[in-house]
Amino acid sequence: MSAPLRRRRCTGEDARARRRQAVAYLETAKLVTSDGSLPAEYDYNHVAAGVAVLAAIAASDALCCRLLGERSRGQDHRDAVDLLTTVRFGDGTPAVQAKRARDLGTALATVLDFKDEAHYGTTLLGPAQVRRLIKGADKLVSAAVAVVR
Amino acid sequence: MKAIAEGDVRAARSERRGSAWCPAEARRLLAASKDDRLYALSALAIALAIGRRKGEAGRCQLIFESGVNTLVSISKVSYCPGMDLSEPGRGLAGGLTMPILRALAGRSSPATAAQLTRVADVGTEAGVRRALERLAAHGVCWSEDVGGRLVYTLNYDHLLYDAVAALLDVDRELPRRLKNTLADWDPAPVSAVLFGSAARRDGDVDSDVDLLLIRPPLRTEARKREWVRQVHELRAAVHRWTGNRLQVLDWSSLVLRRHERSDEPLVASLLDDGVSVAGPRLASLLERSA
Repeated sequence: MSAPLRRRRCTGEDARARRRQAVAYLETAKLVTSDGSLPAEYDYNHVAAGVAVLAAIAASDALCCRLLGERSRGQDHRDAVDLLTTVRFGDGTPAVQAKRARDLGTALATVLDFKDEAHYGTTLLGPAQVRRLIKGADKLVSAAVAVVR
Repeated sequence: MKAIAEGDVRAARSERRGSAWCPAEARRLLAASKDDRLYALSALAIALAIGRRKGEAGRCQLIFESGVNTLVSISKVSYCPGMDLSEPGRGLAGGLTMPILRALAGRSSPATAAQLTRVADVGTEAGVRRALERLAAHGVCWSEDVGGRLVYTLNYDHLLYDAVAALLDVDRELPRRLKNTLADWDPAPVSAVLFGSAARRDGDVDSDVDLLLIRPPLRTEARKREWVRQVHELRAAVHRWTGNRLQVLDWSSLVLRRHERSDEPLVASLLDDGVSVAGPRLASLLERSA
């Protein structure tokens, strides 16, 4: 059962709004990303990382709102990941669906590990880290686009 | 226009039933009119006249491109309500059952009737609760008292679970069939996008199935005829699959770019909600042609 203080109720319309935001954030992150070979471009990679984190969170919210009617709130990353792993969708047996949800939870956990650094840190994130973040966000946004119509 | 329509109806009655009219025949019948609107009205009058004679609804679609290529597909379909595009399984399990099963199948954790009502987004909590009790009575879902509140989970081991999963999967069968059918087309579409209520899954039994086709250059009469025949057969196929009517937007790449540049709202809707069923995604196609 949900812990009311950590969760916020949301509707299908909320899910669609968060899905649209997730797509927009991800497209922006990809646009801003440079190949990172020049130190001067590290600022932009850092921005791309911050935006990719927002894309991942929005996509996770979209999935949870659509399938569970609630989303995680606040700063509890663990709760957000745990909640996401309870969604079920797509082809395959319940076991396949469960693995799919766990994979999404892992992607979200990876992205959230960088959240504080990407949004508030002073150590610039490098191109390899940004690529990992965008890959994780891409996975979540693709799932949100497939599920939330 | 009236004289053209009546003469054409007499000619039409001698045609084979349900056959697609090839462009050459259509152009011959409509050649008297140089006015674009009369082209459209004449074709429509032909189709409706056929329909009235048969007691069925007639349909026709007329496609223009700069007055150079005129492609006409006239098909005859019997009108009857089709599949509920928002929840196709309702054809077999009506009312709240399918939305509730979908809400249960969308989660691994137990949920209250209130939570399931919110996710299913249909009916009242009392109605959902009654439906859940029926499902629980048949063992299709489990109910458990947790802290004084009843919570429900789907029973994946039930004999009916595979049937439930199949019914829930039906909404993805239409894009799959379109994809498989269009993969065999020659000439193949440059791109094809399912859009509207069929893509958003918010239609009903009266909703059309909307499909955008970006046609390739059709440089010979034979290729044009084959394209029209394919579209006509697809229309009939979708009607067999769903009972719903297929509405085709048949555009060239040039027309697509023109609509995109003029900020046509439909293009935004296609990009936002569309489900790609052939060729590259529309966004990629537009990027390439920019």
